[in-house]
Amino acid sequence: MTSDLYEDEPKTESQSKISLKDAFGTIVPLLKEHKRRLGFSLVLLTATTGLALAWPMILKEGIDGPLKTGNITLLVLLALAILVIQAAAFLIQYLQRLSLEQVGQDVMLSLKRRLFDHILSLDFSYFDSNPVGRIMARVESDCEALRMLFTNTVVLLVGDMLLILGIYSIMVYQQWQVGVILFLSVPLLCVLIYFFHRLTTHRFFAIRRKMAEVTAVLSEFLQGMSIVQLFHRGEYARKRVYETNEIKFADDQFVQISVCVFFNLILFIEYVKIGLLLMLGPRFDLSAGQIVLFLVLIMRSFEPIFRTSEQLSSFQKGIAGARRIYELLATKPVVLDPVRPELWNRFDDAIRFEEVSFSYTGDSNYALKNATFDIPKGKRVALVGVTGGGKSTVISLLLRFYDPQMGRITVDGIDIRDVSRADLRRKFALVLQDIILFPGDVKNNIGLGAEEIPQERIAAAAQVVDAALFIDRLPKRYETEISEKGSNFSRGERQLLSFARALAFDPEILILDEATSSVDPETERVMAASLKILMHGRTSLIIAHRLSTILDVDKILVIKQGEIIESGTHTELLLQNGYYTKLFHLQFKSKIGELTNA
Amino acid sequence: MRKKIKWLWQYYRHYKYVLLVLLLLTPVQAVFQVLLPRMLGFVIDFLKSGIVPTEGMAGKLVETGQSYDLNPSDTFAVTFLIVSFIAVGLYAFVQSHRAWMNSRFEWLFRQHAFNTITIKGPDFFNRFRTGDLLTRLTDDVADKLSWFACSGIFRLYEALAIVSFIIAMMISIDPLLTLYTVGPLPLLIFIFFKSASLLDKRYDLLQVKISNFSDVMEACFSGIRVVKAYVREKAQQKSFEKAAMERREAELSAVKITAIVDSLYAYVWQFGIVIVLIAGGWMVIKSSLSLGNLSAFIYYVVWLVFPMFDIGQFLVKSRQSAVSIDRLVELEDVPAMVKESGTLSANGYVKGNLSLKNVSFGFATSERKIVQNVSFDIKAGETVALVGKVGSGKSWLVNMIPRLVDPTGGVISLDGHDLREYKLEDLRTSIGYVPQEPVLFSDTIRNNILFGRKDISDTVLEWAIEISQLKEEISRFPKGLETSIGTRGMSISGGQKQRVALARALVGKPKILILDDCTSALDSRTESLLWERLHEVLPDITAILITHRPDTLERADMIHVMEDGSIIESGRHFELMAQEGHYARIYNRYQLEEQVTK
Repeated sequence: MTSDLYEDEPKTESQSKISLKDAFGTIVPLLKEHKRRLGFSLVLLTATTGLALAWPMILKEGIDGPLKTGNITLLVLLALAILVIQAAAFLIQYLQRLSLEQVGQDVMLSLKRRLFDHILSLDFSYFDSNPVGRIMARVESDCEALRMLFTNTVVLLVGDMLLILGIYSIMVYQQWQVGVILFLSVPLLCVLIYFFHRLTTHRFFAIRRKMAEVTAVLSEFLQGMSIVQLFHRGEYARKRVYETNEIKFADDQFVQISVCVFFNLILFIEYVKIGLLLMLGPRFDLSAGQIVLFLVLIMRSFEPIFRTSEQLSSFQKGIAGARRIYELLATKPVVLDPVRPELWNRFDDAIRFEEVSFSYTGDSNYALKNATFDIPKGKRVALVGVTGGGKSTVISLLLRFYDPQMGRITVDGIDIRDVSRADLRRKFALVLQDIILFPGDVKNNIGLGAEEIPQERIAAAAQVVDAALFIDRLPKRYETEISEKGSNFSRGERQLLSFARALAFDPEILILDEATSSVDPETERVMAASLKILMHGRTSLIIAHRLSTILDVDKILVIKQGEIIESGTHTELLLQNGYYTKLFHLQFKSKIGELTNA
Repeated sequence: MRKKIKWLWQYYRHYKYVLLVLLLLTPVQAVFQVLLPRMLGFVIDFLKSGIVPTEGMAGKLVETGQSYDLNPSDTFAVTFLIVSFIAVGLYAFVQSHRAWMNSRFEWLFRQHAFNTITIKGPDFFNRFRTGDLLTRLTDDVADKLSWFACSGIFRLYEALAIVSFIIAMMISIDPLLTLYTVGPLPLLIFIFFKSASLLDKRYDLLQVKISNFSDVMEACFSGIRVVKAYVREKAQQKSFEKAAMERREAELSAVKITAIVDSLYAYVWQFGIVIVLIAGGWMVIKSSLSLGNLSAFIYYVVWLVFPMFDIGQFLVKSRQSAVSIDRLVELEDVPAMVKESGTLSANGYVKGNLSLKNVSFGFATSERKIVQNVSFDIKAGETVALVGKVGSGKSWLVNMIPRLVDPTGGVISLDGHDLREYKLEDLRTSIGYVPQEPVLFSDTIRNNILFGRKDISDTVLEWAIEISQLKEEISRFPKGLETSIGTRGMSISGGQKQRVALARALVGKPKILILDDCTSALDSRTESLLWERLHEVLPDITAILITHRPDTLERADMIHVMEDGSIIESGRHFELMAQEGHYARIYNRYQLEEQVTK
């Protein structure tokens, strides 16, 4: 999963400043919502613990009682009692586990929902500066880490503490001196756990970082293997990988061996306790039953101690995740709807760019400089220029994905910042070069799940743009699932689907970014024809790469390095014999063949 | 199966010491561990009956103890401590060797797999995508294989040893009781195995739901432009909700089974205890079994669960690991495209006369010939330009010179000898190659330029930097040549990357220089300066340039026009222009391009 790369990102400075209280502030209210079920889980947990301690007690009674007296009936009864208790414990533990899991899942669902909604509201600048994988890691692994922290770690810790408490209470109750002496091992173990934790935690995280490092180095060399071979640097590549591998191994083996030593140290302490028991037992007149009881309890106490030390690292993960989530939720969008938006019901007049300047980076590196032009209703306007000239920027600004630093954009005289974004965007339909498809079926990709677009309209739109031809040939027609970003469709088919989408939405203004790469002449013909239909009588803004398009439009704007340097109809511009003429010969003339083949 | 064992053995045979430790000491420490409950048994008997044992193991121990003035229970306690110390010590020793070996294996498998990959040809990288290779070198190696290769196998060994010794002990106490107790235990393995496959199914479903959930998020975030442009935020929220709910259901469904299996494991052995208690208790009452032995028995029964679990685990994990081994072997089995069989040394003696005779190339997997029957000669010091459309075969043709791939037909010779006669390393180090897309690595600029070569003097380094027009720019970088670039360093522009790639090629003082459209990202001024300098140096080198630059084409000693893998026109610039054929058309285009883009 792409999000795996971003699971353990190192803490940024701003994240370190977030207090624990704030960080957990996001999840605590969610937990409170489910406090009854959480409480129920805790009750069940206590019951399980109690039952876990009950059977050793019965065992003791059995040994000191019927085994001594020879009362077989009582023995059998006690044995059956153990069975019943354990069956009950089995059931209760199952219920507890399930109930806890449900709470955890519900809490996580709420949190994920909240994060997703928030992300959707953020500005484009957030998506520009954060790879999709990282964003997904917030919703996926950070939420998981938080959930694990609260519903697993905390609960297990509580359960384990109860168990330890119960164990030593019983011991002390049975024979207080022996109980107390044995209890002294608990602080000793706590100290050991603390040291172990201090020694290994940062290495544990270092291992994950180094694993990411190994993955990164491997990835680079695997992708660049041809260059490595061309320079015959195989030895160098192997050495570099060896070095990163070796670094991870060093930490790996340290942690592994530490865990080993720690585990066995604790085990030995338990054995020492048993040895002590054997020596103290006779001295304090413990009965055989009591000795067996103490033995079972000591054996039982090993597990929670070891488990506790393992849980400590999930604390770190949970806290780190909480901080990142808090930071995300604290990021607020800048491009906002006005407090009292003006209504823009119908497109009547024109769209105007008035001396618009915009820079993605916020400094003087302008992607668009002083752009001034208008798109009158019903007219089709084309933008031409070389890559990176600023054409896509015009579209992004028009749809208010960003706000310009200088100048303004108006629709029918209203500044687009005074209109609600939904109102503004609903008047447009955007068709991009990279045809974006979503998981779902064909009709959902055309209608995008809009309730106001009935199936008939979807089918009609598909028909008009000639997409219906290949859709009807599909196994489930409009219900056919789109697989893996549309890989089961050809480039041409995907483009037709996006035309159908635009048509189904029947916008007042069409925005189209034409594909640059050529397809086979037949597909080209179909697409050009569909486009003509789509554009017919509709106000359009097109980043043009097709010859047929520029010959067809009402006005052409020529952009070079962010500035509109020429404008006019195709014939007017050719007569000027300037930059446009050269551009035309370079980008469009070679495609004259497309026209004559049609 | 045997193949897999052989595969593992090729690694194990370098670690005979560890192997020996694990093979010999595992049963030894098992013996010590299994002795411990017996000691407990002795104490309990002694305490209950007050009779000082004189026979058997117990008797001997008492005798020894008396010679140290210890009473019997203290003797047993001390013996217990000594034996447990040895047992724990041995166990720690064995376990840490296992843990160490696990990490070692991860390191080994990964390094070995990568090493074999470094000599594979482009056909390998076509077949196995980087992502797939990465997964095999990380997930398969680390998560699945490395643990299994050592711990998986040796824990099985240990489990079998412990089970055998425990049963032996139990039989030595009382064979009949052993029969009653051991009976239900194979049931455990069976249950584990069955539930594992049921769990598998649910986990597979869970994986699918997790994938779907990821897909929804990824599509939404990658396609945020469309989502916002069509005002589809609510629809996305609905999709998200649906996917999240389905995932929740799948998680809970999987947990239900996991919880049952876990609880089952925790409680199924209770049956054993109850049986022991009733049957054994009856025997104690009838005095055919001592209480101490009964206690030991109970201890053994409880203990048997853990090795059973290990055996079950082994069966499940071995399946997964077999798959992972297959995935690694699959990589090894692909043969390298280029064999290193040449012995001729080229260093220092290369003049640079290249000759291509009827050279063809195509991949074995397709019928299409990428290069068809190309023949031409290049004299040492000449500059040859290759032009042609995308897909005309230019890049693959020049790839054959450093032998990234070998021609499938025809021969390429250098200074009169077939390329294949030369030592591969010598051949490649005499050639400098700059690809179209500059591939750099996350490292310092210096290391990127030197690319692991050790014998390069500072003078040459400066010379290469100066020609590549990098000198001034590097001096403005924060750490100059030591500035890190790449994922964890500074990000540099495309133009800067291209220049670093050029410096990298030049710094080896190659006799043959191959440049594939390597200055496309530079601004016109820098590009002109660079080529001015480069042209000063070129006469001493045999150069093959794939270029769009009119100026460079005009200066070339020979131009070859390629289309569909063959050469269709050859000659010097002015001759070809006069012919008014393909070249003339192409040249005019390039001129336009330059005017329009610069």
